[in-house]
Amino acid sequence: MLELKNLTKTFGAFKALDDLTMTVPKGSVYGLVGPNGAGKSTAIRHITGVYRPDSGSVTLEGIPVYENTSVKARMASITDDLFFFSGATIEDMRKYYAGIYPTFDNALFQKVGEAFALPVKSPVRRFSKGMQKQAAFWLTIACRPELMILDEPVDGLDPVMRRQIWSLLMSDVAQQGTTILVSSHNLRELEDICDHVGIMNHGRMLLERSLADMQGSTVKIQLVGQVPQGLEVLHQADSGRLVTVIARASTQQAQSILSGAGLTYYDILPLSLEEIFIYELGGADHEIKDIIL
Amino acid sequence: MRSKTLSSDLTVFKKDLTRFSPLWITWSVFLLINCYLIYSNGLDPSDRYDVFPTEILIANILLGFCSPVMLFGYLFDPKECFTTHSLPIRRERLFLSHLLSGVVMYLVPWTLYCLAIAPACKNGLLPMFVLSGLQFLFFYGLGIFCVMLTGQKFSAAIMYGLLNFGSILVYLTAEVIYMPLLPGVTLSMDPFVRLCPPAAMMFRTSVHSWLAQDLIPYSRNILLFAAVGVGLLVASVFLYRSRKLERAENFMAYPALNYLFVVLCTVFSGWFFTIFSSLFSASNYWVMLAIGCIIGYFASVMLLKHSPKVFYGKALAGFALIGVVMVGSILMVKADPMGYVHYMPEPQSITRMELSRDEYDHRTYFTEDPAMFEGLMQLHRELMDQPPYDQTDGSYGTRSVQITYQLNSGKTVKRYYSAQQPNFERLSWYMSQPEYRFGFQSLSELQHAIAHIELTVYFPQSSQSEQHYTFRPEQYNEFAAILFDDCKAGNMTDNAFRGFSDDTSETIERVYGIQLAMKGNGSEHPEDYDYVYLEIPKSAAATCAWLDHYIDTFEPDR
Repeated sequence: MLELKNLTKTFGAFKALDDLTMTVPKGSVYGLVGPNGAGKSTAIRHITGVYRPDSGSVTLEGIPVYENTSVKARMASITDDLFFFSGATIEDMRKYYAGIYPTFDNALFQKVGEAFALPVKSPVRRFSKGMQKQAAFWLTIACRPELMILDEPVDGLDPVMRRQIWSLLMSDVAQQGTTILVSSHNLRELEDICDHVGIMNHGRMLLERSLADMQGSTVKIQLVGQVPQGLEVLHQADSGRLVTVIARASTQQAQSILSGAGLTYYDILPLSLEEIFIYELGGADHEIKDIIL
Repeated sequence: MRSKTLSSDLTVFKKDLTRFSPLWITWSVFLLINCYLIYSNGLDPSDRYDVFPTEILIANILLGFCSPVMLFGYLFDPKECFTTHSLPIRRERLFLSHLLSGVVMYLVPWTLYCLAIAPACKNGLLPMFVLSGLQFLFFYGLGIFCVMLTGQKFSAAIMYGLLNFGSILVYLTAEVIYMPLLPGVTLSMDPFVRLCPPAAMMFRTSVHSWLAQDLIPYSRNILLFAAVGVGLLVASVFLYRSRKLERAENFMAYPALNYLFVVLCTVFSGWFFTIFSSLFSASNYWVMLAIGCIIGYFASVMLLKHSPKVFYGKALAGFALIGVVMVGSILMVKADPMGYVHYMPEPQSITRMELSRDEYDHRTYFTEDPAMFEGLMQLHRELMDQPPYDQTDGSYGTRSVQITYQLNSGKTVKRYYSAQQPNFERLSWYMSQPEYRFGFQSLSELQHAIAHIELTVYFPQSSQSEQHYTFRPEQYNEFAAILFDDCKAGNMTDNAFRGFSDDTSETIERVYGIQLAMKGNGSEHPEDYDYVYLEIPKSAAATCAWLDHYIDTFEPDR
């Protein structure tokens, strides 16, 4: 289990992380989401042991991560800003990673390489952004980490490759029990693969729950008439007589409240992760204003 | 089971050797060319004037900077920095791996080079081999230290230059900004060179032979610097451990150093601009200093903030503070609270006084006779009381003069002036004395030292070509006595002060040039001779008369 406890980090006068607390269960696929500037990348750099926190702790299975090679050997990361040595080919990078990571699996490297049709003799820096991402995945998977940290992992990849990558990762999770922490703005994709989600804003964790709980604790209701009392409304939009409400309640709770309100019409609809994200942050000054074109 | 730590160390080490191969290949090629030149010219490297070749010193200075910047340059690039430190390698081991890579990249080519040139060396190469390695250790440690303090290659280069030559820059700043406020007071460069800048000191110090008496002091210095280099390496490890990686690309890795950078830019920019004050009048000196300081300050702040918008708030307050400190220091120095400008030792505390043209003039008038001290001290008073020089008054300009007091306590007091015309006659008398002309106080010393005398006669008014005469040994003493008397009488005026003699008002038929070869330290070997050349002025009437008779009597050399 990866734990971030009361993590605070300040850059000059700017507080990037403000008492952040986060728990990534072992074997889970955790989606870390938040608006731009929420502190996701900063949190990830603390997890990978790059930054030293001003206060708080980052632990893996209770062991601090910072400057701990035995812990860091159990994790591998793919960041948004990829780095490869100038002039290095995939093979050069393989040798480097194989020398650094004790669990690097050359056989797996060969096997995974069949999925990526990458030129092995060209310098990786000359690849396109998408190809560089593929190369990063190739190397990271072959490291056989217990924890994989992915920051915008499929950004720049074509749909076929994206599907392939997710498929590889999910099979890794299933077979090896790998824990995956993904940070991405593509909530639709995350919804398909994550089982836990954490929503960050202004350096703090706003909401952290299993996806099932999250989707089960927020509902979208369309009704005709007055919005009944007892519903914790996150957002309300009127379109003529039809009122659309996003409320924090389970389906059963909503059903119970609505059925007793004597409404002409009401319907409870499933809510996507994207909608939960938008409406949760809407309560934390990230409002989506109605736009009249 | 393979050791994880050793495996990652070796991986980093091997990566360094391949990635930075241009560095050690360039070093190897340089040494190869050196090797070729040694053998093709039939040189014996151990027989050279400089035991420690200057080109190797320069290479050590450059490698001492380039190696760390390449090996630890990932600290300057956020992408590479974050990727590297997300890997399972501790910072100390990363540091050690890179450190060893740099040492190996230097030492292997150097060792092979020394082995290659060993057959050409009669005296053995061990001193040069070891000393170069120790010297590199210092510059390498300094280079790594600079990288740890900074966040960019540019600032690392500035830091490296400052730490190598910083005290000379301090000397130049003091010399340019503060010394003009203390007329007569001199600032010697030697303490600044001795104290701090190893590169400058190493350039000034060269070993002239392989003898132990020369090599041992030099080796002690190198050992001391090598120890400093090791100390800097240890400090660098601690800096690296505490370094905040988010400071990659920042000008300085430690914000406090930004203030130091701004202050240094302000002061050195002010100094630089005063160079151009000579294009205008002297009164513009302080204006140029102020302009330079303003430009230096705001340019450095803009560089740190990556923005031109710095003319407000904290930046202005900082400038005001630096301005107050600088103006305050200038006013304080000008007030001369220690009384340096008008200081003259008590006559009873003086053991010896000297008068020379400037610190580079090897000729000196000297006296240990207390009766002569008052005359020189009177000259000193007159030089102190000179008005500021006005170059528009049509006078003959100024002449540099240095007065030195050696005291009973062992201390030496030196004062340096630009003497103006009213003092030329008195100075000319001193410059005529045998002590100044020949370095001897007595005629017998002069006569004993003369090895041979040559005379050249010039005819400026006619087309007759010059004539050369070589005196016979039996003529030396007689001529030396005549010459000595004229010098003692003050008739042998120096060329620099000659504008006031009556020479220029007469048509000069003949000009006599005398070359005296003097036995240096009594040695009879011609290669040890010191040579003194004199142009005999008309004011030296007795000497001129003797020479007129001489050339009427003897034939010139063929």
